[in-house]
Amino acid sequence: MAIYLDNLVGLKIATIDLSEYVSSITLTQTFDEVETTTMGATSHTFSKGLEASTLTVDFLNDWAASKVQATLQAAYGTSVTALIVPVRASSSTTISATNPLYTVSILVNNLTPVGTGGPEDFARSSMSFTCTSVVTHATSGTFN
Amino acid sequence: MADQQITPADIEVLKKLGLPIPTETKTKKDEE
Repeated sequence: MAIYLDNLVGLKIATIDLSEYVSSITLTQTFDEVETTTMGATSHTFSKGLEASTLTVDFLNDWAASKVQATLQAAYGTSVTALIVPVRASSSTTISATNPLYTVSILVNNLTPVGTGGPEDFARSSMSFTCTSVVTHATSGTFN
Repeated sequence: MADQQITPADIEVLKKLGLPIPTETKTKKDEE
């Protein structure tokens, strides 16, 4: 796959497809750097520690049943599964090496149901979720 | 197949929303 327009990212939270409400999404994979510097070292040394990824999402708000705000409120205070795919097809998304599926458990520990924006804006919410599992990367299967 | 796994916490969300629970999806132990 060549370079592509970033307007088809797919997101499911607790199996519910919220892609149509996402205006921005960032999955940041990272792990702790554990210092292993010892006497005699001439520079700091670090080893890989625990994974500590984050998922940041900007949503356009919708209070309809089973849509973005109802889903997030139902998930508030729990760790639920998030699925992210770079390019979501309208009907059947095939996962491949060039369109991998990322799966991670996120702790829904913050909500901004009344979010940013003023009278001239669509209501939106911006949230950053702490990941409570490693991010898995799959190259086969389907998204929807 | 990709991991289309569903956790007990996911199921609780679906129940709160009154949505059907997928029956053919693998389950895994909730990591909470």
